[in-house]
Amino acid sequence: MLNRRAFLSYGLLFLGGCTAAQTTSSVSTSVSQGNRPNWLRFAVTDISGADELEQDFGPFRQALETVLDLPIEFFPVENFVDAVPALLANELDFAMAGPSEYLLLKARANAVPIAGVTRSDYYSVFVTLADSGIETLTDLKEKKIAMWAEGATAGHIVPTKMLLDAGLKPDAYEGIMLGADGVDAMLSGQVDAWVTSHTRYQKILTQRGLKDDVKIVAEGEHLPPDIFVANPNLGEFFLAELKSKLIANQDILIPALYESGANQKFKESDLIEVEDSDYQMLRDSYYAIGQGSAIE
Amino acid sequence: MSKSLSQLTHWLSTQLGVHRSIAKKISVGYILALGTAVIGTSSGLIGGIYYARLARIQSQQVLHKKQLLNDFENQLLKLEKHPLRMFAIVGESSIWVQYEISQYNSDLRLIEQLLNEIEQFIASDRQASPEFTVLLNDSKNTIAVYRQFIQDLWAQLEGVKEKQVAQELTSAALISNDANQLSTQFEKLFEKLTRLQHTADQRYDLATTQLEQAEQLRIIIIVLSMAISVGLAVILVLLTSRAIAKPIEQLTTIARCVTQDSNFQLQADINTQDEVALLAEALNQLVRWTGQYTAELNDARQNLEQRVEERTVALQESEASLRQKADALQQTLIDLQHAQLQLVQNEKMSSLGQMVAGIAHEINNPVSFIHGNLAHALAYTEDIIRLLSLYQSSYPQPTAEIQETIKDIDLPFIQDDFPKLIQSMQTGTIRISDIVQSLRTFSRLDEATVKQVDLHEGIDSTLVILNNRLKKTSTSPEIKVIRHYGNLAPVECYAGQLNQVFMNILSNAIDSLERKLDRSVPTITVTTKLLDSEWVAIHIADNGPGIAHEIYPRIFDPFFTTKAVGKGTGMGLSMSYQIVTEKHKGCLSCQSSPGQGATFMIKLPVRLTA
Repeated sequence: MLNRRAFLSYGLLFLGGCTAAQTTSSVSTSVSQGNRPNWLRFAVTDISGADELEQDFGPFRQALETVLDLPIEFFPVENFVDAVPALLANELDFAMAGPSEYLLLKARANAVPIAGVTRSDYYSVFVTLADSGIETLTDLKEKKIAMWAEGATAGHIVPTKMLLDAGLKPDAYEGIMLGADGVDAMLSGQVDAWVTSHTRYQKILTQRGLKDDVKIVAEGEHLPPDIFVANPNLGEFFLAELKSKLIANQDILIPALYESGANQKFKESDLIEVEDSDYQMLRDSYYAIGQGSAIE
Repeated sequence: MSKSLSQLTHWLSTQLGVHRSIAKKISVGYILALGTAVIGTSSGLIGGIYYARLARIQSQQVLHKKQLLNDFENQLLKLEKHPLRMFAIVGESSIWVQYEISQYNSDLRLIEQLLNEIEQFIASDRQASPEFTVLLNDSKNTIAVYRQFIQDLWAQLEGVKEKQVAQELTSAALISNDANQLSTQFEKLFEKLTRLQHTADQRYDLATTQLEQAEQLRIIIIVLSMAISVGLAVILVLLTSRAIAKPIEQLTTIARCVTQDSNFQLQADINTQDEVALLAEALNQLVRWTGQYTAELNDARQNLEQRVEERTVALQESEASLRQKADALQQTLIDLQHAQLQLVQNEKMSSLGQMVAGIAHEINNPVSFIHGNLAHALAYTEDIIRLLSLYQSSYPQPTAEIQETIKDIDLPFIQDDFPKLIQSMQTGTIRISDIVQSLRTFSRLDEATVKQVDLHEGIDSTLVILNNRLKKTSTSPEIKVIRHYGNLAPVECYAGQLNQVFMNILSNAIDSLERKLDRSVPTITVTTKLLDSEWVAIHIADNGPGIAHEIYPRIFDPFFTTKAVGKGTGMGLSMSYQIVTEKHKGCLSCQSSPGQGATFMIKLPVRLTA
């Protein structure tokens, strides 16, 4: 039979156990508690460096914090593929990506599409000097073409597909990844053509006053929208919440997105629901140009 | 053990036995049993949970350690393979190089994160082996060297477009002494990891065993405490039952002795202070009161019996007196009725007698004239007939008119019949005289006082009066009267009243014979005889249906009759009885059986005055 001391001892042990259980349960999980994360780590796949990220997407981050009622941390990437291993390693929760990056994120990290950001003039253009004598894509045979970067949607994948459709295989021309320097290379004659998105083309045309100096040789089809994707580990319920809140609060988020000067291209944009199938055209392009293994 | 149990039992018995109410006894029993069960079960649960929790925490720590080691090993393997992957993709699409670099950076960040976690784990786990710390330090050193190795490789590959050149550079780096040393260091790290994993496996097994033991301990404590509580509950039930039932049994025994033996001196012992004690006190009080009340009741009963006895005697006396008075009153009433009836009857008989006497007297004179003259008329008739015979012989040839008249009146017949007619008239007058004499005899108006008479005359005159009822009618045959008259001396009596007796008995006999059903000749037999010098007897018997047994005792009761209303007063036999027994000091009795007829026997003294 238990005496009083033993009873008190066991009672204290029981209370201590309860306290310990309470203490242990207060340790936070790495991702979420009750299907809702404690914070979000956000990356923009084509913005390198923390400063630039803060400058271009600072207002959007704040608006997103308000909408989601969650603290948002920037996750700066070195390049547009940097987000993929980060998402895979749960270092990243949420990202804004171009269509091509989406395919990579989807293929390697099973990223979940949340919302698309429409752009009315988002398509590829082939630009040459007005007096280049180049009129069609076939005229670019054995020419040098300035592209944005390997894997860029409007600056590499789609133009390559367009050239292929025009009968020019990659070895029939020289594609040079020059990034933002492509326009200058064209103007200086280092390359014969410059391929970019129509948005960027219009921006540079306006900034440089090149209206009469250059011409568009070819335009591609409208591209799938840029996309917000999320880590699948966030959970089904929070992903649904994220999707609905982004679309429902686009009146707040879109102005915040183009508040910085760098994102004026989103001034007329909407946040819409997207499906993986919306990006099939681009996926086909990857396969067409022989880069299908990258998105498998 | 048994001594301790005995002490416990004594203590519980003391606690449950004397100073507590039954409700408290039961409550204490329940509280002890349930308290033991709750405390035991709770202790088992708490102890089990505590030890299970310790074992689970230890198990989780070990599991966490194993997971850390596994993750660390995996990440280390991935990290180590970076140069090989670079070898495969260098010189191709820059996107894959960038991807591999990103992957490497990500892996490196994860390795560093895991190292931090391992460092925290070592700091928090007291049982962490020193080898863990060695692994941590060696890993940090190796990764630092490896990072520098990779940076150098990237520097060498920077700007190299040719795949073959890049692969040669990479290959050269991979077979360099630095690479060999790094490989050795990585190998040692993996060996340490393997040993640590083995240690973690052993600790995990130990923790699992401890968890199972904690579960078993909890079950043992719970089962043991439940067994103790059940045992305690059984003991308490027995003790409580005994503590409650024993005093009640004693009370029941006392109550039974009191009720069976009526011994109200018995008192129940009071050894407790509970409700049973109150009940015992109440029973004792009840027994005392019952004894007292019983004694008082006995006294009261005795008094009552005595008073009842006295009252009963008084009532019996009163009842006898009342009954006597009632009998006297009844007798008086009967006497009055008899007297009234007799007065009425006497008055009727007197009136009837006077009337009969008057009628007889009035009839007697003319009849005497007729009877007296009939002798002369007969003589005269014989003279006339003799004269006619003389004329016929003297004058054989009368005139035709005479002859015609003789023929018309049938003179020979008249001559022959006329004397007979006169004789018949004489007979009729004699009979009228007899009837008148009988009426005079029956009424005895001239003999109202006691005088000696011939009873046969009274009987005969009565029969003469009743003669018309004896004759054959359309509904009944003739009643035969047989007289067996003895040689009676004159009897001193009230002749008229005795005639009334004869009339009543003979009338009843005729009534009875009229109801006769068998075919034998209805007969009334009147027998008289001299019993001795002092007594005579008259028996009047009939062969009618007799008297039924149920009415036999009541035939002499006043107003008792079996005749229809208006045909009988029920006073005939009663008055006859009174006349015979009271007036003449004689006896009147009846002998009858159903179907055997009835015989009325009158016994009279010869001398009434004697």
